Amino acid sequence: MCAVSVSPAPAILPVAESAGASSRPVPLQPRLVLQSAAGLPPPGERVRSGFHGIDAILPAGGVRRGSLLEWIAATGVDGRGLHGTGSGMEAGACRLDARSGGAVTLAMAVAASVAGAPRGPRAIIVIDRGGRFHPPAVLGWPALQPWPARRHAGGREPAIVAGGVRLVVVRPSRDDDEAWAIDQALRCVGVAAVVAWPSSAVAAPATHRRWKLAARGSGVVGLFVRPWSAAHEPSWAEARLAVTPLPLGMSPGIVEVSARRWRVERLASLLHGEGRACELTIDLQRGVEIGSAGHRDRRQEGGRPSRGERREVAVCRAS
Amino acid sequence: MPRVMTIWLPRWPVQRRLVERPQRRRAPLLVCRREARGVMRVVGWAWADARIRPPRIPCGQTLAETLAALSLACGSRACRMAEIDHDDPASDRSVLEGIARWCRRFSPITAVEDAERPECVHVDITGTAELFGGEAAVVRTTVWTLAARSLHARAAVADTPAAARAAAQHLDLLPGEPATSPRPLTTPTDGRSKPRHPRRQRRRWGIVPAGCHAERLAGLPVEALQIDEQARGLLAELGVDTIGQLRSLSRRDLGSRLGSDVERKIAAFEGRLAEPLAAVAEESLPRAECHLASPAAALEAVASVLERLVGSCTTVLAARGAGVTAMQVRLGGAGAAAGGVVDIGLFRPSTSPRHLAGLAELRMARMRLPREIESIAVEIVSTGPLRCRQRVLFDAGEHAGEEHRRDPGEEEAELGMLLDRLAGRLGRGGVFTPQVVADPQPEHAWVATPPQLTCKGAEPAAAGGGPKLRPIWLAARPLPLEAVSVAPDGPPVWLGIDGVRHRVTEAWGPERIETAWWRGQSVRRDYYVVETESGGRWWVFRHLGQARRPARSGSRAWFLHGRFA
Repeated sequence: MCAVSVSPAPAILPVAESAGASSRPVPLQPRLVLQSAAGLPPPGERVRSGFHGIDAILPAGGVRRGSLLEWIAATGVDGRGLHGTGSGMEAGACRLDARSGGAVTLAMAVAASVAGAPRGPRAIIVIDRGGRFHPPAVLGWPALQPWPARRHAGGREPAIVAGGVRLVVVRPSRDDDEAWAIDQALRCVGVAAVVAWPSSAVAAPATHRRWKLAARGSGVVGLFVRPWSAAHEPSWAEARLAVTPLPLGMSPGIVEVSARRWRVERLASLLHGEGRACELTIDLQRGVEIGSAGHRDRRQEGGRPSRGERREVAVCRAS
Repeated sequence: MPRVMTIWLPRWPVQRRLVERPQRRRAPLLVCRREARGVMRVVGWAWADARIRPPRIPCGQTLAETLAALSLACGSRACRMAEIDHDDPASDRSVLEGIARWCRRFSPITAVEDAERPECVHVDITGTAELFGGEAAVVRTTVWTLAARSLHARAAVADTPAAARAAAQHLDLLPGEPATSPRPLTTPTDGRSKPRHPRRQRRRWGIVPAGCHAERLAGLPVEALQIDEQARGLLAELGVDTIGQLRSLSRRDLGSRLGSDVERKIAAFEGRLAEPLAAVAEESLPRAECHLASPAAALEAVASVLERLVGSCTTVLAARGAGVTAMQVRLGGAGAAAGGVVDIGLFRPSTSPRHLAGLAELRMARMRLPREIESIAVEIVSTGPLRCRQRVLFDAGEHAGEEHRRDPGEEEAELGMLLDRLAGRLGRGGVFTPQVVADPQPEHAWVATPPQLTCKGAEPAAAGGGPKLRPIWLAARPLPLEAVSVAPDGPPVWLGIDGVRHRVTEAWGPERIETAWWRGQSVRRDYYVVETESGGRWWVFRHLGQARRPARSGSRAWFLHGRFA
């Protein structure tokens, strides 16, 4: 175990910020990052996230047990409105809508998929600080049904994992309780995934680092939903995924209320390089993927940020 | 003058089953015994659903008649949902004896009621009640502690066991102000709105002053004396309804006309006939105590001693194949009132001293301890059988090339310990497993149940016509919205909240929810799933008011209830 002193400067930078000045992510304290990565236990096995598009954009080609993933709740079409490009009223609207963007749903769907993997623990811990989590939204998902998994008639491995995942909700009432509960859950080998939405005060860099070590030691997957403002904070997550909802008006042929589309973009990082993006559609009632578009690399998109993105960067820096 | 506290656990066979499996509260539970020729008779039943008005089902009624009455009162769906369990008097008595042993903290003499199907526990608190702050404190503590374990109990203190039992079973008929009662445990702890008209609270405890129980309890019905049905019928024909009327009759006539049993019951009630309490057998649950040579001030100094004491208790239990499910740690300080008591409950039996001591330390770290700790006592309150699972000897060869996999039993044990730790610090209400119930009102569509560590035997989600689309974040209280809709009863096209306007690009609905009249304030709402131009999805509703008094149409009728976050 190496001693690590965490600097307030971000180790991983989002694409939007890095792309404005240069096409490469800004390497801040690379030696610190590499040294800290070398001191960790070996990464765990890779499991499917349940979404082809997300598997494609994740660095390991799937969710690696013992890793942390951050879901950055963005909003607006193709990133527009992330920081409010217009009047103050529009900015407020975007901040409000970021809480309706679907990042929590996606994180829960990935957690259900990780917990429903053929082998491994089958419990999901949801750290619900604000008491806002509404379990009926997810308890109807096949993976969270209480009956155990079905198996092939002659096979040894369960081919269809239809349920048997246990959902436990934890409601801390204070910041220190929340950080402690996340830490304890990440250390437990009987847990498959931990879903939480910690505030910036709770997810301080040192705390985040402790969570990473806890998850790496136990093999638990940590899925943290963060606001867009947290994209500029230091993070020890293996990947940070910005979730932008796409209105169904942009999706010809999809009119179902249970269908929802997102653009998921892996933000650029020092360790894993350029960001990549994909579009996917899931069924909210079942928590499963019903369609996805191919992932795209920044370089395949032309290597340069769009005009709108440059304007966002300018606004972001000004603020 | 002897003083006896009687704890009555109504419908004990049903209560025991509901405590062991809380998910059974969702459906009617009937406990039946099989008689000759296969006739099933109902011993007890319960349905913990606040919406229904339960039919009156007397004990001993046949199962067929009971189901017919249930169907008439609550609909045929209630019969399909009903769970029928066979009677098990031995287990009922065994668990009741466990409660009697737990009551030994108040007195060394505790006994289970001498009856074929006991529902009461007698505790002789003569001379010991003052040690716990008086009779009122003892009886209140008992009822509250049992309520914390999801047990509905009523208790009363009187001079004789028969009088205390009569008082406990008819607390509402006792003279005096109604006492406050503990909240029902099934109330979710998520800050939901309470009904406007709460249900009438019934008394849970009472104290009959010493020496005057005959006068105070004279108004109770004769059934309170547990006399047989034939004598009760005869007394009813004679117009003798209360204990006072019965006691006014000549004792010579009582014996000759109603039998010696009635005379004996009255004598026991009045205290003329001694009713010895048959103390429950010692289960010899281990306990350990340590008096420190010098008072300790820091928690760290106590920790090592505590772990050693817990270890000495768990070693005894492990040899019996049992683990701790509830434990009490008592810290003695300087002076009689300076002690501290830590009660610990576990979701799964454990024999790990470090785990148990750690749970106690978690609780002690958040409470005010005595300034100087002089003694530490550990008492095991209840135990459960340990589940042992044989490990696979040659696990590595089965999946060659893959990393080492943990035993599922080990994972389950670790999960159980995690839940214990979380509940130890956050409280048992802060850790739960949600369960969907068939209630259309979104605020009450699920209940928090204690975490279940196993999935085997669990039922599928409550039937409600299949899963419906619900937001993943639900506001504790709906937030008022400014809205503009083109059609009078149509979906909104603009929504405003906190001075910010959102244009609605898609709207699905309405989903009419009209329910909850039994909670005092009915709910009539038209829900819409709306998508704003920036892609956010909200769950909004138009408040329709009451059926006889519709809400005025306009922007004030719209509320934001959830977000598809």
